[in-house]
Amino acid sequence: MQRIVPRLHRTAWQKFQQQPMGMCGIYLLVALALFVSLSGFFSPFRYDEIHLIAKNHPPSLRFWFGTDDLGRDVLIRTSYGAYISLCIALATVIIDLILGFLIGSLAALSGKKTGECLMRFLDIFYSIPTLLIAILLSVILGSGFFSIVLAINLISWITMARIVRGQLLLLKEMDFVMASRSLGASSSRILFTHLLPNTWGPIMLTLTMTIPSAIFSEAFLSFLGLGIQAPMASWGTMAHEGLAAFQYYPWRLFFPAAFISITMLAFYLIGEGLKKSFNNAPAMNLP
Amino acid sequence: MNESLLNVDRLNLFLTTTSSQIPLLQGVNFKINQGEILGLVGESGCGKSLTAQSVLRLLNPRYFKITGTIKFKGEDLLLLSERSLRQVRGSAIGLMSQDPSSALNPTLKIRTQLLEGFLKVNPGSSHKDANKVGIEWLDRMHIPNSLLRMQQYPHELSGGTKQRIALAMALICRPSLLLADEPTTALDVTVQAEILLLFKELVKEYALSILLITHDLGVVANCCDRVIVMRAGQIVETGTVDEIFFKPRHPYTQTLLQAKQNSIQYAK
Amino acid sequence: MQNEHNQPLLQVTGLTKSFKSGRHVIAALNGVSLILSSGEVLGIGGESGCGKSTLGKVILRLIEPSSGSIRFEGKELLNLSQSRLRVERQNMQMIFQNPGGSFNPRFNVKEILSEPFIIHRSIQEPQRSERIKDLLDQVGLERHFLERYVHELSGGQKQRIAIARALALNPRLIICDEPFSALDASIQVQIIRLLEKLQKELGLAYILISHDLSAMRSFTDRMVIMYFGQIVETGPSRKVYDQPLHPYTQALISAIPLPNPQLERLRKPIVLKGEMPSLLKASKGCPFQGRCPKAIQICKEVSPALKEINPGHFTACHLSCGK
Repeated sequence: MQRIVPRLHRTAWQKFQQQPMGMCGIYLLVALALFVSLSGFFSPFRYDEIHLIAKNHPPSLRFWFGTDDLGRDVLIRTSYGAYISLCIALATVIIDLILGFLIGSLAALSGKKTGECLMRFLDIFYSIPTLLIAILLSVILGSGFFSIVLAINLISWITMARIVRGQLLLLKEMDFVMASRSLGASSSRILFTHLLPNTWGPIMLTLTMTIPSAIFSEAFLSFLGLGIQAPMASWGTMAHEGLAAFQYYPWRLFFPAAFISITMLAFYLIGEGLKKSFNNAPAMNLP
Repeated sequence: MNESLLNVDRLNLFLTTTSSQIPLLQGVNFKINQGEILGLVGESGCGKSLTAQSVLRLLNPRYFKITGTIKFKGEDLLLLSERSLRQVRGSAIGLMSQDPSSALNPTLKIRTQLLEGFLKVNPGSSHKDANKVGIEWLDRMHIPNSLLRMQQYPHELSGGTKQRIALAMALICRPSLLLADEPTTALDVTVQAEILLLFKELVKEYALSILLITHDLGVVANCCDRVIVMRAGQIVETGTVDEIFFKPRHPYTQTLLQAKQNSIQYAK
Repeated sequence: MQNEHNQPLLQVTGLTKSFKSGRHVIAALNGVSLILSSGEVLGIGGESGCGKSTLGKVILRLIEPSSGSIRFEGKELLNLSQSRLRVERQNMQMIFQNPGGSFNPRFNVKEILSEPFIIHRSIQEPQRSERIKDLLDQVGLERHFLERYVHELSGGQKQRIAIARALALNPRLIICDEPFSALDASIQVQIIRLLEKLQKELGLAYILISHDLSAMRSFTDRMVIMYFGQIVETGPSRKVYDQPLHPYTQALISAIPLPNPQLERLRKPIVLKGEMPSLLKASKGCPFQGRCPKAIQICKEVSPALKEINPGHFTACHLSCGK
């Protein structure tokens, strides 16, 4: 009486693997990670090692990416910059998930008025320019990795909070939540079994936007001279130094800028792949 | 008139994928005469909507391939250029869909949308005249407060009113054929009864022909003159409405009738 | 059918529900009362906006009523604490209008059917798997469906899973909210037959909420017709359908197209003026008087109460009394 229907179900990961764009993004990130680890292992130079005889040499067999005006190897410095950017990415994920997710959930589940008040509060925070905060923090805490991470993420988690709140508000009204209640489920069961797992999709998608945004913010702030200082090599500081010398020694700007672009592209592609693999399912199936 | 208004002959529709062509409609033949309501009935997924969309060539040619002939007033629609086809759509053949909200732009007033088609076909007419025509049509659809409605937005209206406005929009350019795709499925039964009554009035008043697509046999019995029964992309039976209901020949038709009667079990 | 000596299974009295929308108040339910006996099937009919869906959800306290009383097996549900209510929910279940939407899209059938047992910690493995397999058998689905996800099921299959889930905790009452509206006629028949079979086997009572009165006529014992948040007619199903007393019911039933072209040519549906008024404007008098073809002066001033016209057959209309 019933036809055997071939299985249509694929987990989101399987669907993702079919997206050329998304997989391209993943490969780029993997390549980046490999670049960092391999160059860290095998490079004969340290990021702050000065070779005064080899100042501003173009790319050669000895210095694959050339040198800067203190004779430092651009390749290992670019690699160090990648390492810094990956640390920032990690910090963003952690802060977004902890603060953004928690506060967003609180705003969604705590009743209409409390939620609205909280969101307006966050709106006020959100309107403060990141640049201002970065300057203030670098005055208070001194420049450096820590103050920059704080500056960037102090505001950016609010985006995640908004997305999480929006998604939870949507899910709360859906029939399957009411069905669960009609079976006698407690609020905590509904939260952990039904609401939160269906939030991962938008969360991951938002991360593919907040991470590159954070990486770029760091590059931008360092470029301006705030945050990471010499001799630490972030892509931003390298670009800052490279810009001045661009006319004569273009490789010093080219490599950090290229790497910034490729990293942002990688996250963008992953985001596109995620969007396509979520679009087919009514909500978000994850493996 | 002996010549039929719409003559669909050996219509085949394929979904083209990278590896193959999946047949969606196979060997569909039917005629619609002037002044008649032809019911196209079948269960969900049988291809009824696709048939209507094929007639107006609304399907993306990148993914859908059509073969056969669709003669409207003697002209093969499948051979027309895109430009000529646009002349046919709306002014010669109108379309009415299941979901009234999809036919209406939520950001425009009713007046703007209703008169859009009219002004396209009658570019010379003044706004005052067009307005008058619009209000006449709303009145003909038995929509109360037509003046007020013209100035309202779709979200202010009920489903039944929206569907009546969608019908007015489809007819304002005086097409000779209306393709109505499940026009009353989403509506309450009392509103449905009024719309079916409207269909019958309009057919008499304007010699309109209607292809009425539905899964509800009650609707078919109420207002169709002839009926086509479809299943899995093919036509299994054609006949007058009395023939189909009282002397069904194909077993699938008999199954459909049986199911409907079982679910009602009304006293005769 | 009705066993008047025993206590009714469900007794609803004077239920009201108002929603606030901005500054406006929408009276979705306006003083609804009904009684359901054990093993009885009650149909609630009416068109969109009449409040029937809201009524179903309020009876289960999925939406809290503004006022009124709901007694289930003698217990007043509105007095129960949340934790007591959760326990009580095992006795009354619901099947939702859009079967696909009532399942967590990430769950497969096995997880969907395990949920009632997980929530109430009633049956542990391995009995739980056995019970789930039995539930599938009861609704006529094969074992291999356990691995399937919601989007791999057809409409009829989804509805069967919804019924299986509702049966899991051995309820006494199942409220079905528009169970057929998304299904083809042939599947509809299958589901009705399944519900009938389960009722006989398990002695279930149903409240069937639907806008399709013709489908309800044979399946339900009694019918309630709602309009504008109120009950306008109630009585044995066949009587209400074949000899409707309230002008709205008469119009509703005359509008249902029958699959018989000869009959349809002879019938003329009663056409109602206008549309159901916005729920924001509650006026005095009968809620139907604006559209009623038989309205007289008193209809505009006094809201009619439900009166018993024939045995068991009630209607709220000034015209049907004193005849």
